[in-house]
Amino acid sequence: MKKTNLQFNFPFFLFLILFSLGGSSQAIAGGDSIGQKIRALKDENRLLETELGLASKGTSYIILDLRRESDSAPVRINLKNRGIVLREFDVERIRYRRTKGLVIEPFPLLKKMAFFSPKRKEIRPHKLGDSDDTISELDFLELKEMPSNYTLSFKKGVLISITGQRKGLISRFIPLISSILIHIRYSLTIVWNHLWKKEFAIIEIMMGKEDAQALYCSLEEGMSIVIMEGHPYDTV
Amino acid sequence: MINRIAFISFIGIVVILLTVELFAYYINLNRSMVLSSTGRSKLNELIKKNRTLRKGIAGLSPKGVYIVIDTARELLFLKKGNRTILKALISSGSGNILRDPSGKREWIFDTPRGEFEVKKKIAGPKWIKPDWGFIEETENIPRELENRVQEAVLGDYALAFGNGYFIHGTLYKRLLGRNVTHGCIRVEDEDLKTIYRLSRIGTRIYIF
Repeated sequence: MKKTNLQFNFPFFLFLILFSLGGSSQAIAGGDSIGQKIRALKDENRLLETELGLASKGTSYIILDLRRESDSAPVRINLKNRGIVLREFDVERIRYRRTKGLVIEPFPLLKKMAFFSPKRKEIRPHKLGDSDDTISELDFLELKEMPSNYTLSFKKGVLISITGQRKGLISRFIPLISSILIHIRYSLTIVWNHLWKKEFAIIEIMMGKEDAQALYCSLEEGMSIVIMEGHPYDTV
Repeated sequence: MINRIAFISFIGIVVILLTVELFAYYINLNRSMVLSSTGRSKLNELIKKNRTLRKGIAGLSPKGVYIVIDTARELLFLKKGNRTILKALISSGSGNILRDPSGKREWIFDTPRGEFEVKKKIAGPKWIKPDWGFIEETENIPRELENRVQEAVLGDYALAFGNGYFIHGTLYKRLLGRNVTHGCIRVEDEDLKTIYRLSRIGTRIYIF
């Protein structure tokens, strides 16, 4: 008889315990969600203030917003001027490491660094043919000559590496070597900055090859980037 | 006997746990209510500021039609708000360098980047060939202005956006989509007609 009572009551009491645990965690969560909204809005307002400052100047700038509504939502690099989006670049994969949270402020681009940078060609003066349709085939800097693997160095130790994805097994070989070399370089940068107690942020971005080339072409030294981080320590 | 003790102990533990849980629930509920009242007013302030900032940014964007030129993809977009009215293939600056044989001058044929505006609209434009045009073709630079004038080279229309740069037509339509110019933007005739018709003095141009 007692055994039966115990067997009958045990599940009931277990249910009561679980119910009360659920209730208390709901109460905790309710308080935190307002706090989270406040933090998120503060960050967003800081981003908008910074963008307003850049947009007022009439020069182009970049917004890299790492916040995502869901895991499948894309991350984009937006090239903007006066608040309007001039061009969006889709990012396939992104990873970042830094000493502490990135401040939401503009970081001017100091240098574009690639193993093979495009060089300007010099025009050799020559006489044109009589026909208007005769144009000698001059060399000019074309999009396909732009590098698809390069590093962007910004102020305050922000480094962004861009890797343009290629299709095909063999054509992935070069970017693979490039990625390994970049990775070694970044590891050295991390160690160096740590030894000298310098703050830094390293962001590695993988995107389509043509997008990477177009981005290289579109960026100019002095152009500012503003980075809005997602969840802390996320690898997106 | 042992079973009874075990049962009573078990009930006692459950009652204590439930009491602690209920107490914790009560504390957190009170805390979230306190957070709610101050938190909500803070949240409302932030929402108001967010709207103001968004309005401020939106206020800087061009009203009416504007032009976006993508020199990487050799495309021109005629837009109004977020809507694209026209997408056109163009030719932009080659980026090449031309040096004066005397060594005193040098030209770099880039299309300038940034924000500009239409300063002049010209129908039936004539090209006043600059010095580099003669040097490039190994010709002597004429002293008289009339010897520099070339007609029907710039197409039917031209829109000036400062420092000698224009959006204009071209004889070399097969080269559209390639960056072959000396800095100006070349557009096909029909597209140029639309751009000329819909733009006015002050229409903004964004080049990147």
